[in-house]
Amino acid sequence: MSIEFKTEEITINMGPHHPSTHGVLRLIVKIDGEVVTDVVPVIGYLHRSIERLAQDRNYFMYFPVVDRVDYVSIIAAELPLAIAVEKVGGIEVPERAEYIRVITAELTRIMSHLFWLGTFMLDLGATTVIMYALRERERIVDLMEELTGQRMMFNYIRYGGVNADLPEGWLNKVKNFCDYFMKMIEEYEILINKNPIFLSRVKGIGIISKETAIAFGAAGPILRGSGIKTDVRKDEPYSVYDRFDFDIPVGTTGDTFDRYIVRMEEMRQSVSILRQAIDQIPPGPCLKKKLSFSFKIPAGEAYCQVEAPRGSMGVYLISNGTNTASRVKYRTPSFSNMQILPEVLRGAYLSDIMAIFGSFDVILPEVDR
Amino acid sequence: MQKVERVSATGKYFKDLFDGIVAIYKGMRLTFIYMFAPKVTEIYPDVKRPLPQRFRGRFAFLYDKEDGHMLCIGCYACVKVCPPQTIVLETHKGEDKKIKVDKYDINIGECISCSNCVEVCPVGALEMTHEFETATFEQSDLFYDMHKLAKYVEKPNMYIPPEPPKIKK
Amino acid sequence: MEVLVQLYTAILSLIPFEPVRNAINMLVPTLAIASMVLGIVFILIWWERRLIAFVQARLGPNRLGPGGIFQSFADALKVMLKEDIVTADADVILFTIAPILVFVPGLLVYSLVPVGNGMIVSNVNVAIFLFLAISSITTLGILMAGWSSNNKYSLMGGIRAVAQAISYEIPLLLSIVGVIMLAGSLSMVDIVQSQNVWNIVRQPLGFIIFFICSLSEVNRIPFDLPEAESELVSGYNTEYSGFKFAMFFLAEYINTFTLGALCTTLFFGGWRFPFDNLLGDIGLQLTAQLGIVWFILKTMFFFSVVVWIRGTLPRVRTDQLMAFAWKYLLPAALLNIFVTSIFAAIGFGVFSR
Repeated sequence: MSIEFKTEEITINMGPHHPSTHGVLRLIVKIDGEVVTDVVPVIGYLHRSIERLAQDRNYFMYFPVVDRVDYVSIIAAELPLAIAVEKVGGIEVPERAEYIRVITAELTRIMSHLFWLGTFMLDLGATTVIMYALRERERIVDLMEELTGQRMMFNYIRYGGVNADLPEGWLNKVKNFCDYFMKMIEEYEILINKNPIFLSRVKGIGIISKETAIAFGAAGPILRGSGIKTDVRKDEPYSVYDRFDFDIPVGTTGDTFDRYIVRMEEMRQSVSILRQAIDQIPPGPCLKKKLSFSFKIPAGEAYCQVEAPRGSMGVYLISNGTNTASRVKYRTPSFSNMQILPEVLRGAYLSDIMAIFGSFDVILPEVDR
Repeated sequence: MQKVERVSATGKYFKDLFDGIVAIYKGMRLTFIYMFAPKVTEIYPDVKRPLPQRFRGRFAFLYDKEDGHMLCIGCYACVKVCPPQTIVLETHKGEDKKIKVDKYDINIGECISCSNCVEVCPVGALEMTHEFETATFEQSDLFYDMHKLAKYVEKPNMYIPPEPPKIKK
Repeated sequence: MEVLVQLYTAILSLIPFEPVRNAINMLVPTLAIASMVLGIVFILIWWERRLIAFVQARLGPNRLGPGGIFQSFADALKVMLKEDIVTADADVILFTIAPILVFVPGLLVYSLVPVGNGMIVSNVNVAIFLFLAISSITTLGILMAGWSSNNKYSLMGGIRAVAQAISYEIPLLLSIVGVIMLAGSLSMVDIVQSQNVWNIVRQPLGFIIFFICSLSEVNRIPFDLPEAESELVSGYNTEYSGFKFAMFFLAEYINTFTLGALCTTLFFGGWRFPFDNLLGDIGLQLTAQLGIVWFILKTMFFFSVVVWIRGTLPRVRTDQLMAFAWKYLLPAALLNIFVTSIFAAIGFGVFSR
């Protein structure tokens, strides 16, 4: 005897108000029981027209705005714009400023990865890791507050250097933090790495092959997790990254676990870069010449990319010779990374959506800009 | 040659079980130790942590402490660099051919505390104070005029461009 | 505590009319136990928040009263003052019944649990089965809540809750079989009295299986799939607010407390003071007079363990949850029964009755 059931797919609107869409992403998820059959991401809920704002704010005025492109790793958004303007305008940057930029960039990278670690584990249901991660992040935030005056929107880098020199004893504090942080990373790994529940949630889940990763223009830890050894810091070194010795961690299978491992290892490498930078930092000025607030740069264009915590963050700048850019285009890694989401999620379980999406480390303001 | 380890399905079953138990035990031990570890919470309204020197809080409009004249010369530089464009400055030319500031309004709700204005002020007439508890019950209370923003200081708050640190030998 | 029971019996015997006496004898202990449990639940909510905060290097609620102990009362007050929202197109009758159906069985099962020496509402001789039967009604309430809310997240939560409850009830039952075998009775009082050596010594595997299964039954991390906030917003109670939500919330804590109570009764000697039979007269006196204190302390301990686990482990996935029950727990439970029955038959050492 057989009974025919009428079954149908359920469409779930995940977001924009959902506890774990990291902001305001909306996923239209079609599920068959617990299995996902289709996912359509809907973006644009956080659009603040940051690129358009560049066209009627002069360079100096525009700078605090780009802090909002990626509010989790602020320096990573400030840096490419500064470098692009310096490239077009031929503005020189003193060496000490370059080192300070590297130190702050690596600190914000750790900051961002810690935040990712916490939210990723929260997506998997572990409530404690986020508290531990935020505890360490708080230390970096305090350091940055001491350096820049604010905890989130630093507005610290300037065209041709940085806003202010390091406060006294700051480098020592960073050094202490590095030692402290290496211990803490081990603690996270005790808590997470071999946990059977964690492993069963992430191993073999959300596999992105090399081909898919390249085809979708993925960047950062996702690309490296799939086994492609690439890093803007090594491939086309900006600032003074060519002077440091560090590894690029790569994954093997491209699953969620690899992306986790890559990010954890990246934090360790960041600490190593920080230590080297602190040892090498030269004395000198941090800003060659104070630019007037309505300075002009010659007409021209430049594309400049940096390795943000989520991948290569690029700025394409077209200058028309006035004090305002005629076009600024932000190439943000989250945007391209998120396009893989439907591809990976088909056939996964409903619970996997958040595990996979969490491992992508998508920051929504960066997607929408 | 890489040594290929052959584990039977039963062996793997028990190995997984054992590894899992060990890992969970380690994690539980860590969280147990943390139960008695010192806590990191700041008891905020009771105990306020010291703010760093460079902290950018509420914005202030400076007056001279001695004779109470405003330091602002009405040059509009701050208005030109304000990213949210929230500074409202109105001036007129006085009888002595000097610029007089009539109005200096700012909406604290819009201000993003970027300190661009402080940085460009040629006479150091602006300052970021350490005050940050500016929440109000009424939206209209967020509008600060030049009297509400006033702060009396001895010397202007000039922006000092970063200087090379003195090399100690 | 024994004095209290004696006093109550004396007062009761003063009432002349028998039906009235019986009615009062039914009402008073029930109310006493219910109010005790509800009172404890308020402390539990605070204690969980405080403990989870300690695990996470935070302080937790600490503003209201000493150590923030009145925080849950403030929260209860807030929840009760909230608007009672019913979703559009919701099945209003089921929507209203569901929280009651979840809340009441949770309280009802306490009539079967001996909280102290002679402090039991009804000493039923099939108490364990009645207990499991009553507590499984909760699942029905959760499914009702999920279905009637007219919300897909709620529905998913309800479905998950049922699937989970059904597959975990089997190893749960099987893990208790060993205990029943050793006590030779289904009555909880008998089981406690048979534990001259605590059952945890005789049934370590059984206890582990029982604990894991009951974690799953009460929907606690790592098995809190029906209300997984990162996937299903809040699961079956997404659409609930006000007092109905409070009922779900309280039921969750009552159930967790029940978990501890059952662990205590079945495996940790119930109201008995540790090694009371070895300590001689003092031990027996401690058991007799302060039974309820030991019971609550032991139960609080298990509640704390549940919170501690919540602070450590992530959440499992639906299919893995099922696989875990069938692949690991069920074989282990069967093995436990097998081994226990052999030892019980031989009457070897601590296994002798």
